[in-house]
Amino acid sequence: MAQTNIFESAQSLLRDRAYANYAAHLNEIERVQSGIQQNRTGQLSLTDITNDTSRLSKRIAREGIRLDKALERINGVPNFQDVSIVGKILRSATSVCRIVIQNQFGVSGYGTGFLVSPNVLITNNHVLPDLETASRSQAQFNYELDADGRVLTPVTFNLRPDLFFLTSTYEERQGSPYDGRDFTLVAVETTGSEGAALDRFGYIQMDSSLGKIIEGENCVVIQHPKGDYKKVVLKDIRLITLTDNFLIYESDTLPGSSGSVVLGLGTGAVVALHHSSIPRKDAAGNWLRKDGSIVQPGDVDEQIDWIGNEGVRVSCIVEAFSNMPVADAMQPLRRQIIEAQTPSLKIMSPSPALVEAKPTPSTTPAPEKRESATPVDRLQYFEITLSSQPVLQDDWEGRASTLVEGFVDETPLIPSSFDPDIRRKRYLTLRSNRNPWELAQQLETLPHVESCEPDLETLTDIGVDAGETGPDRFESFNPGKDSGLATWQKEEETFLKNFGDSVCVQKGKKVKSPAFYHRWWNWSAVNCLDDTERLKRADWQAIRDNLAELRFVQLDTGYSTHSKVFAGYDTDKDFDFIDQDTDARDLMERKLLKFPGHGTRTASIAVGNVLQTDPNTVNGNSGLLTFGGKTLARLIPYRIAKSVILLGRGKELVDAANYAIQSQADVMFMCMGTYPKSMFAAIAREVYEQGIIWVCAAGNQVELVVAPAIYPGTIAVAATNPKDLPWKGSSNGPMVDIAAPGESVYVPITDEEGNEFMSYGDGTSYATPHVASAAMLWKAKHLHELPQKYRFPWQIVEAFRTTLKNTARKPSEWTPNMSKLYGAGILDIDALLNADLPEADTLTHAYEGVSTELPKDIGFVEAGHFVWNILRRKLRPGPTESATGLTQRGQLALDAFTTRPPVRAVESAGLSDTVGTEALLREFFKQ
Amino acid sequence: MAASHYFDFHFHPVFKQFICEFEGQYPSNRTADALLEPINLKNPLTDFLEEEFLHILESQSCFSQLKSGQVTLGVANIAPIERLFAQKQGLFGVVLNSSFFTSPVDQTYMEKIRTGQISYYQLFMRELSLYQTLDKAGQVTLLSRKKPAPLATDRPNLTLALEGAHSLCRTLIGQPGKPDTLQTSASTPLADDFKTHPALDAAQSLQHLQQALWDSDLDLMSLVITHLSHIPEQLIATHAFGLKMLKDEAAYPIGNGITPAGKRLIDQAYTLQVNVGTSDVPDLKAAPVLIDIKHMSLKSRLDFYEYRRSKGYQLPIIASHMGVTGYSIDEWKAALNQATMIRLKASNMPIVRLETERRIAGKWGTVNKTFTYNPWTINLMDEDIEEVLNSNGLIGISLDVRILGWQNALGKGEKEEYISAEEFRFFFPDLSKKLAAEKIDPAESFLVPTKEERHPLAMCFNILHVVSTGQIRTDKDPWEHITIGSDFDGLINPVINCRDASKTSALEAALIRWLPVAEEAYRKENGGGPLLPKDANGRINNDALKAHIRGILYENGKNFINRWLNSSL
Repeated sequence: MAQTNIFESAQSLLRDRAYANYAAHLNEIERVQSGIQQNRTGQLSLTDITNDTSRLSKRIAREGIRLDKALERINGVPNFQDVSIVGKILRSATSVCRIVIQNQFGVSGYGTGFLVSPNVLITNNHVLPDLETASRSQAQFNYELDADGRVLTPVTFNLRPDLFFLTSTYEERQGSPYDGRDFTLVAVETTGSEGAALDRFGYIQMDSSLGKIIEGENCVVIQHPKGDYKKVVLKDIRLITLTDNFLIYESDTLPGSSGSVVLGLGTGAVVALHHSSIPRKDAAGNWLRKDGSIVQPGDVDEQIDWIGNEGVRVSCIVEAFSNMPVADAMQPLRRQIIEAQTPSLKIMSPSPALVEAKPTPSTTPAPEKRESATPVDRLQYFEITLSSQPVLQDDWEGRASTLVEGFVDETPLIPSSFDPDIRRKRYLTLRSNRNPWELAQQLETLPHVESCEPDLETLTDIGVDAGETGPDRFESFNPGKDSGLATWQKEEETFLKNFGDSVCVQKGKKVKSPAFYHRWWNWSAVNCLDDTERLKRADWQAIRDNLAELRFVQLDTGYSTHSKVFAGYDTDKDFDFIDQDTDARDLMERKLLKFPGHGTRTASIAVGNVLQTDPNTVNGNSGLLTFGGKTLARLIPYRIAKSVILLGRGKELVDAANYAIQSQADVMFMCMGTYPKSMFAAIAREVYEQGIIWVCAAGNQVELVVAPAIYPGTIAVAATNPKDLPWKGSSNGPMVDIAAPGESVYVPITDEEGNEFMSYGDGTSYATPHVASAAMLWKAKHLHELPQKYRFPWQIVEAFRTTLKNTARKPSEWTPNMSKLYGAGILDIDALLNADLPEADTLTHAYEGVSTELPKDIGFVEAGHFVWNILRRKLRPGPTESATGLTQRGQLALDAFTTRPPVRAVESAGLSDTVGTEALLREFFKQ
Repeated sequence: MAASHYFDFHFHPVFKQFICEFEGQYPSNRTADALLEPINLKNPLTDFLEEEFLHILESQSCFSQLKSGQVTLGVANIAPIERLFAQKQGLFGVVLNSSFFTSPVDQTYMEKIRTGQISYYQLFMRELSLYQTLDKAGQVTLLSRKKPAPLATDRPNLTLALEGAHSLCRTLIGQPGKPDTLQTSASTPLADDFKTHPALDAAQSLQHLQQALWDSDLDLMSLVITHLSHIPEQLIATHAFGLKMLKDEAAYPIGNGITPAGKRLIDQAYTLQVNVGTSDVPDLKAAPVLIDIKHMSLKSRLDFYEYRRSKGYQLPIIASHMGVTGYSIDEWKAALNQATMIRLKASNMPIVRLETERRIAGKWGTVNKTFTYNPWTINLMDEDIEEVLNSNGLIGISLDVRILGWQNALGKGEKEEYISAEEFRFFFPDLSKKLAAEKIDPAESFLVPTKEERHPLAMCFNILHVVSTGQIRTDKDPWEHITIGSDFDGLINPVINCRDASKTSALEAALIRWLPVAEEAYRKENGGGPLLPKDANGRINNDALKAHIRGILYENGKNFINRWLNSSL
């Protein structure tokens, strides 16, 4: 059946092409191979083979341990490998399957493939070139032998190219930039032979970031060679070189199976999709046999002299499948694939195919349907405060499902709370395509419901004036035509021009010996002892010892692998509180494969360490909790924001903060905020009562202090600059507790190409982690004393607040008005740590004398939401805002604040009366 | 063998009496006689419930039952009802919290717990008050190291223990900022201490409690540091998932092992001293409290061993009412069949559901003949057994069929347990990022044992695994470190031939008869050398076997308590 075997002719063509690629990189290959040889004989360290320092430093950063230890580990890999990596490789092997290629005539060959998301696998394009082949072919898992040499029970799954199929041809084509990468992604039926479930085979995460492997390191190939039982190649096979789209590694005696997974032995991470072997050729271009003679037709693979193998690089696959066009109907699965590859912890939702197959029972919340689904299906969320009458409360519990149309679910807002006011708060989920504000108004007509508010996505305070100088400028650090380095240099010059003579930079000069003392100006501003000084001092020993005992939580956009901060994150405890099924905005979509950087930047103030990719030129300003290169308190990231400007639903923040309570966090910080909501007030109080110090950014560019900083229980932080003066963008007001450096603070960033840099940023976001770090140091210092001295947990928060304010540095430049609006002064860590703890009976509960807030009119809340989310930003209404403007009640409330004649607040018109909307916001924020 | 005595390492003799009558005053003024008799929480309306559930509601260890069962020595545990038992949702909640269904239960307690109007500490004091009444009336001897005396022969000798460090929490339930008030005009050491110290952290609370007990001629022997629910206002250690009968998210474990507050509590318990002099001229005497590892999550237990080692603590570890998983930790990890990330419905809290392959204990009989251990992490791993034995501690085998093991025929939903997401990552770092997610409503379900599970063989297999592991992993004689911790009146579902304390003697016959059968089946399945004493011909030495069984049912416990009484542990 030779004429039908496209597979074999493609293989042959690819082998020629791979040889050409090999030949083109011969110099580099020879250099690496000579290095490998020297390494094998012990004359050269493995890490000395590569001449790509950036890749090496990323590889080192991936180890997440000290440089010398990392080098030791990487270099030891050929001889000593951690058992955990073998476990990882074995688990990866589970996800590898045999592809039985079938055309209209039957089985035409075998390839290998592996799952890259719960129900999509990847193999080569030359294995499954088109829909038709894919729809006939099958994936077989468990086609392997067990420990006793018996065949396991293979499980066969049909492929579902109708659900998802995306391919990049093995030949490059004009006008198709993502072709030539030789891969096919295809959906797999979730139930296989004998009802076996696909999900038991897991999937392999394709991490597109660099540093998974360096030249000279070992590769592991998992494959079904010639369709045989699953094999793992455990020979000493080294990576020879990386070219643009491919990587070349040493050859075993036999060619690999098309579609095999190639892993880096050092990290256990997938580095390539194997696609071709490279035959040795003579000058005339003939393939050669092992004995040097020319390959003849009919020769078997074993006779050919293979000099190398070529695989398609993971990063180039990820880039292609993220950017190639796919049909609308396939978008959900594509998104799932992309999400499956994101290195931060993603909790996978059930696969769309499964959801469709199984109708969801009406009593459990179903995953939110996408917009393309029928609009009646939309899930809507409401925060409800029940009547204070117990009979009505009991009645609600029993009858909510019959009282509410489209009822899906209702739960206590904070199930563990005993606060009588909080216990009346419920969280309601229902299905409806009606305007959420109308629904809320209707729910309020029930006698059981005292007040009701839809829980919509809200925008943060960041990005209000997004532009060149706005606080979120780093969200897309664009090196423009210059290199990232040139842009960085310009930033550095600008900083020195503006602030070189400032008091904090000059003070830093006295204590910092490195030439880059100016990047550390914030250390001198907060009066934090120099690192070397802290290591010497005996009173800091206890602090260092105790830091690791504390739980330090960040509520933000999640973490990234930026080498400045990655080692400072506790990625064993992180969680993502954002609902996976909610539609992400375009903003996120565009950046899905880049790391949103806000969480990283703010975290670096606390736990940043050496910038591994450039420890000499660009590095600077380590975190306040790092000591001599060691991060003693690691930061636990909880993801509560979709992006720096878009918070998810309010409940997601509540859940994250509640989880921090339940797992007994010590200090928590949040560098973004939004408008006040009753549920935020509730959780802020709960956090306070449990004795967790919650440090919050006062807000940026909106003047108003935002929630949660607005609540009495939290510590609100404003921002200052190197001259000790308030940053002009900092929110301010009497509820601000303290100020800390927040203008032109040296923080890590990532440019558009994913390169790591540092630059100067503005925002109360940067001020906040200074105070949070100070809280950690203060708690560490008094770890054993605090529970003895303070009987009630809230007293710990209040003792910190009192000491923080009493010891604040009050710059002589500050006017009396500044002291009213920007807190008690600038954070002074040394004074804070040296102060005695206040007596318990001198402390006042933050909520003493604070009356319970009466519910706001629903129309007024709607107007406030509208002004905050839409008008202030001149953004298009998102999916949660009505496209037709406000409800009548909302409009009337808005009218009350704005000039006559009333303007219909619709998308196109907007509101020109900024004075009126400002007044409404002030009232909304009670400021 | 006339009138053998029996020992019980863990039970709750006045619990049902306590929850059935709320008294406005403190101390209790109920009469001792009124506290002796069994209470049946069943009423005609509850009869529609499954039979298994009804067993739980019957009294199992009231004093009259102890007397007829010759249980003359034991450890009385006080476990204040946690708030999750007071929630109205779920079948169990309905039964316990409705005067309609369960008229004997006094709803005043339930209401106070549900709405946070009382502290766990006060609940403990009130239950203790009933023991004090019985002690005064000569119905029981409460043992104390303050006045070590020979054991009484005419009444139960009890030591006191706390089940759950929540009992030490003096602020109102769920509200760490609000002190509790005890309304009483009586001046007793306990009442006075509580009034003057209405809020203390767990470690200090324990110190004050032991001093007040001492001043009352009482003594606290041991402390279980967690119980069945997550207590956020005073987190000591992550607990092991233990019950599915309640519809409350607090049943699910959160956290990562022992907290700093937990370490302080352990320090305090192990180094505790009471002042036997005056406040002016103090005379300090060591009165340490033993730590019972029951209910601690596996990670908490590992943290605990590590911490003991780091501090050089030598006191025996006790495990008062346990079963075994049959696994070492590595075997348990390898036995994982399925793990799913769960988000609890109301709080969105992440936890992980585990389904673990069960270790076969042995096969016997014709139908459903395979006996397996319960692999839930609430049970002992081999490493736990090793730690307890090496510390000269004591393991109490539970009489709860759900703890002792399972039959193969069980449905899927019954096999799963839950562990905290952080602890899952600790044990399975590479799996954690691959988990599929599900959202669930805390479900209640009932584990309905089959007849075979109620069979005494299940208990024998647990005993034999401890013996085997002890023989392999330690230099101790494991037979000296095993006893029975029935957990009667701790809402358990007891093995069939010992439904309450009055039937304890039936255990002796059962062990004599079934241990040899179990040994043969266990060794056939699991290999290993002989576990029971044999004579030169390889036949079971009956006298030696009976002596071992006596050890399990009484002597080991008695020796342990005597060593404790004489401060020679």
